[in-house]
Amino acid sequence: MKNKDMTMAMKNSISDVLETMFFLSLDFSNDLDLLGLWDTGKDPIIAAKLNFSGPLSGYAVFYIPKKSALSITADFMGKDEQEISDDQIDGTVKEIINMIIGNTFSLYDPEAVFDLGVPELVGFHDFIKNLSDSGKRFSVVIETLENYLAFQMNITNQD
Amino acid sequence: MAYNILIVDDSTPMRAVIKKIVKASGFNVGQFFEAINGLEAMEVLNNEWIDLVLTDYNMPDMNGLELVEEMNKDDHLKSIPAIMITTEGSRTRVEEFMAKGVMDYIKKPFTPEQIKQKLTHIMGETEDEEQRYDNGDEELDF
Repeated sequence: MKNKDMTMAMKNSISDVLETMFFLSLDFSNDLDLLGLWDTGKDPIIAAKLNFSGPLSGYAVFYIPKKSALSITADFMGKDEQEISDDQIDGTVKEIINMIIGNTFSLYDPEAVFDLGVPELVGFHDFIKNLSDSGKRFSVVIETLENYLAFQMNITNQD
Repeated sequence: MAYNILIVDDSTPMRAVIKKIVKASGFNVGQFFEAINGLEAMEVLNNEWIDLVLTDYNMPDMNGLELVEEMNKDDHLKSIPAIMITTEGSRTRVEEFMAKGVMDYIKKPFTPEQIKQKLTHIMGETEDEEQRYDNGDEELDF
């Protein structure tokens, strides 16, 4: 596996998904300390996890503050924020990670077939501690106009 | 002619967005039906008149490809065009979709224009297409 290619595929995929379907203007940073600016007491973090298998196996986690998730869900569905339910927010966040990871693998290797699991919400604290960008762990901070989001992919096995 | 469209996706927001885009595309939709997986979709298909199926691939219990395979076992249902809307982009997987009876596929993330193009290709031009363009209403928005 070429780490540089995977990082590029991951960032391009995140841009494709968040800009094309959610109209977010974004930038990337490798400074994971930026996530220390999250005020998780006031604005909880939603974390969605997706397992994958194939030529590479592992999992990915997408982190987004709830206020940002509410905002993009409302925009996505064309509704006011007051009309959006927690289930709709969760569904949108799960859909985002599903699209990002599927698109990442298509960009990384268009010939390879990966099996994606069903996205699930997980405890933010259980996974954020594994956030790093080294070896087979790929992590990136996504800067939007409003907040910081994060994406993490951990490769646990390679065929 | 008004088309009845079945949207199959386990994501409530995604079903809502697809419905909105199809409406905005100007297609003459009779009725939308929704299902959260292939199993629910088969129930709808066996009880309602459906002209087009737009289905996700990755769903619990029965995925989109399994749904198309089930539809192909039935003489009537196999004539209904099914379009896969999916994050799956590998050429091998797409070839598998087509070989097993999926008529076309749309890769997520998609733009409204991409959905419109596929629907036009599959179902033909809309009745009010000419009128919409006369009004300069070519842009689709989410």
